[in-house]
Amino acid sequence: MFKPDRDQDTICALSTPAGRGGISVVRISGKNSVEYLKKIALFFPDHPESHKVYYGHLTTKAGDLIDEVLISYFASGKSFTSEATCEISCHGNPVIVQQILKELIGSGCRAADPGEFTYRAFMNGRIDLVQAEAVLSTIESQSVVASRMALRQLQGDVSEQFETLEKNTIWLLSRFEAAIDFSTEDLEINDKKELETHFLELIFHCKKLINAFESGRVLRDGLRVALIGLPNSGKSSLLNKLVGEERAIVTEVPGTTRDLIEVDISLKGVRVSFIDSAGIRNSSDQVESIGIERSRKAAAEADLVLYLFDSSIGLIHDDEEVLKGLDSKKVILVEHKSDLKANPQGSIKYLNQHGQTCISVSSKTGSGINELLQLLESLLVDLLNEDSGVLIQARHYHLVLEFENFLKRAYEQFCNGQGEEVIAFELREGQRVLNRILGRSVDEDIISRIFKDFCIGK
Amino acid sequence: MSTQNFDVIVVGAGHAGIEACLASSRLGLSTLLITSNIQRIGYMSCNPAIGGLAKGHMVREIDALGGQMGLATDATTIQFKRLNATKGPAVRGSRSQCDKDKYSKYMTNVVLLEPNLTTLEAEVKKLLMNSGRCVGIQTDQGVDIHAKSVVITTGTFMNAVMHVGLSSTAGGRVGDRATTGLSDQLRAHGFLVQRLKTGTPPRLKASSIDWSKTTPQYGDEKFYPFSFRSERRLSLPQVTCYLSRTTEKTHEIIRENLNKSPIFCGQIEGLGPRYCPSIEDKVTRFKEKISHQTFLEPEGLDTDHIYLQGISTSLPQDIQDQFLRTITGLENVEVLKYGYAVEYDFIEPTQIHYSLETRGIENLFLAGQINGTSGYEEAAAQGFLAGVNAARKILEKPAIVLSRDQAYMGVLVDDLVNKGTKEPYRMFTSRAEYRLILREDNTLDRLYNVSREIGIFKEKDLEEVFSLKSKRQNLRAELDDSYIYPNAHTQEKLRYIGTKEILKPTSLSTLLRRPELQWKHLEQFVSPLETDPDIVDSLEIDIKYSGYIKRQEEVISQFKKLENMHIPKAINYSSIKGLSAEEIEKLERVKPGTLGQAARISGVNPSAIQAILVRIKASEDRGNDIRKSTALENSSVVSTT
Repeated sequence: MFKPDRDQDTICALSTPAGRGGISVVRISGKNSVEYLKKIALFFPDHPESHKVYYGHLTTKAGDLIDEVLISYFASGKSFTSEATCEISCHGNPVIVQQILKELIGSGCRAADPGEFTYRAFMNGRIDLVQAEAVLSTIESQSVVASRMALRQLQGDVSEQFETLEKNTIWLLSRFEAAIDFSTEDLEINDKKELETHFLELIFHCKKLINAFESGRVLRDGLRVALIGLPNSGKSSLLNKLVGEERAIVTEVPGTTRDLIEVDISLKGVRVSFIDSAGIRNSSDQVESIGIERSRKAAAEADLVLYLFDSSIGLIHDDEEVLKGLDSKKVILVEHKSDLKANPQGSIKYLNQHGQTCISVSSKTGSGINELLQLLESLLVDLLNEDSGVLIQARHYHLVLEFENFLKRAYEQFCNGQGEEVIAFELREGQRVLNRILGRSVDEDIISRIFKDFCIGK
Repeated sequence: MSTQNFDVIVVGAGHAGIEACLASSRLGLSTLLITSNIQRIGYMSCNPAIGGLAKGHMVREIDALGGQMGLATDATTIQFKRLNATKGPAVRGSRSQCDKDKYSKYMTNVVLLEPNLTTLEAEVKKLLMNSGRCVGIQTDQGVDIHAKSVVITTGTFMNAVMHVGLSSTAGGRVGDRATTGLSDQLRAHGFLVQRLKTGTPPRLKASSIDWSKTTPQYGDEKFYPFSFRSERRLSLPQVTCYLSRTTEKTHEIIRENLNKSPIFCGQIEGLGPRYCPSIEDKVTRFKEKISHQTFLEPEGLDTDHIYLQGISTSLPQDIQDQFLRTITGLENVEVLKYGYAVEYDFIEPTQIHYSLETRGIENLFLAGQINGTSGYEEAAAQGFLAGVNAARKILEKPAIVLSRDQAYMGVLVDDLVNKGTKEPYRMFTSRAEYRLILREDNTLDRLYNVSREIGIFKEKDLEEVFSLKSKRQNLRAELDDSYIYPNAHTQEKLRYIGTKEILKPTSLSTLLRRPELQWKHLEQFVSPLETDPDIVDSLEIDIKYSGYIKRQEEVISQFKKLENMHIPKAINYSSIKGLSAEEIEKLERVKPGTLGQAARISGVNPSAIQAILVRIKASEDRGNDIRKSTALENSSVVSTT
């Protein structure tokens, strides 16, 4: 059967989370929104006013009452998708929502694909690529802070940053181009000092964005904290204490935890995931070996490692062996079972050698738990610095790195007194990269990325 | 009244018309050149120079393909300069100041002596049409002349008005009438016709200038002829130009009299070129500058006309007298011709095909300023291509279309066809994104194959070009494969020529890429070292730039990907969501053949290109779906019957 152009369809979908709640919102977008809606909303006017809310009752085509609702209308060109859009606020009951959607589809609407509203907003030039990605982030974001950042990206903050980079690049380019094409006219464009200042500012701005990526990623995906230690160092007890519920099985038998256990808490509005893992030791048990391998991997992938050792035993040679395999920059030592503390000397010796943070904690008495949480909070506060938390997408990060590369080469050529045509060449390459970030250039990569994220056409 | 028949008629004998009529007659087609003033064939209406940055490149390109401009320039050069000589080789540009009269006489001779070419002095009043096609022209005498193709190169003459102060007169140039009728006819055929403006500075009497107050500007000793067919020596005596400056008094007079300038009073509607502003513009827009430079250039060997470069003006004559006399050295100057502005009709160039044939009228070609360009070289480049393509259409051969990575001429046509123009379009090196590849030195290598395809040159004309090209290639391969090794003997040689020692075996090409080394240093390692500049110069540049050239080639191959993505002819832009009304209008006018071309249409945003790409992909998918579903339906039909 021939399919009419999908982009011409009027689409509908539930726009709020599925399930029970105070209200649910069903959104309809497309040129026939009003026509289709009117089949179940007899009270709705033929020519509604944009940004106005209408109150009434929805009824099935058979005339049965569905729900008492509020309908907001957004005219074509004034809505998120840029198409005529109606938003039905109904009672938050899945049965009602299903009935509304069923009736709308019966009237001529098509159920929207995931991300299709955003796709339409992008295709209709309502938002740029960076903003479109932000919409996806908003939907996916894991915490309050992350959604706040996604919102800033949506409002164009991030686009603005890249536009500034672009503006300054073009500024520099224009100087070098003019020096080539208008060299016979007495233009005062060769103030080396001024050019250098602009170069350095641009490089600095670039660096700032790159540094911001790390914190941005943590804020979006959450902070991953792995609990690592020798068997029976008390990882599962600490996890239970931290999250305040019995999620990990605590036994006296070393090597109980073989699969990874992941538990989330929210600290300062940021998701923090604790990953409990198998204790690391040389083991002949095949199943346990697999668990140990997983632990090492979890440690490598985590943003932070809490390395637990038993204070009653102290930091022993086996601990140091495991620690050697970890990235020391992200390790915090936890002197666990501090209630049983017997031999503090060993740990102090290790600390002196490596200058690592160490904190004493007892899961049994709860001492030190608050200090540990405060330490994690203070790390997050650094990341919450609003200035730095702008760069969300990994795609941006890689492109900014690429841009920086061209920029640095241009600067190097400039310092070496190379010709303007060579400097301009590097800057133009950089400009092309920025255009890709902003979705300004036609690039198969961008296009296929859009297809991947937006589920189009099928 | 129908009297004569030709294959091709070229209207206008300026720089575009000359190249057009010579190209078509040299391709064996009977050609008629019509000019309203036979005394002004190849006349330099404005500055007395050919070439310059990016323009010099185009002159060489025209020459490599079989055009005339390079030869005429070489024969009449009275000062030669290589601009940007201290900058990188890709952005050097040759510029020749020419003896204006000798240039025009040279071209007149060539045109009058060319077999297959007839010249007629007449004014063209209208095009003869037959079912939407152009089939000839009618002269002001009412004579109909038929042809298979017509090339219009009327320059600034269509509905031209000259302005000096607040008085204006019809005319395209002092002493020449305007052409009326043609643009009205084109407009009636649905063409978008708009106005542009340009200006020219005063010409001064040499003997009235106090040269002692000016700074002499000498030409280069070394001459690089524009034509590969010219000898490497100058045939005419060389002249000196002079530099002077405006004073604060000059600016004061101009400011006081702005109300008498037709541009500032709104009498002129057309937009002038931003890169060549009038002195009124300069003084108003750059208030902080207290002095502007001006070059005083002799217009020839046997004339006392001095061209005052940089001081184009349309102020009244008495004001021109006043302010000119405040310029250093011009205190007692006598003006031979006053500056003026000219406003004229042009055809918005997005209405022509890559072949320069119009979209609206078949067999009608446009070239030069009528397409909104400025400059002799831009005109000649288009004229040449229009002449070649008018001929090829008759010969039933595909049009010659140069790409952006092939020639500045390709950049020119591509920009005009896709971007159109709002001000007189001039070529710059920065318009060419593949600038490092489009150099003066490698013009012949770039265009050798196209030149053969066009066929103005005989095989034997290009034999030497080909042999140089292969010699360069062989020599390059040799240098790539010749290695020097880090032994005591080699290191000593390297120290001797002033460069660092090598750490590992190094090819001579790699060695030559060191900035401090030049070709001649290779004689330490190669004997005998090739020294023919025709072989060596371009090769050395290629090697020096090779890192960049490689990267540029990668960019080009990405560009080609989009260039190879074809847009179906039947595409319906108005049914694609997300295109603005303006974008739909532009896409429908230009009808781009590929996505790459669509992306270069100005006013068409990348989001639109993405939408078009989605549509193309979707319709490809749907095409598959339709085939599948048709197959299914057919099979179901089979099963039910």
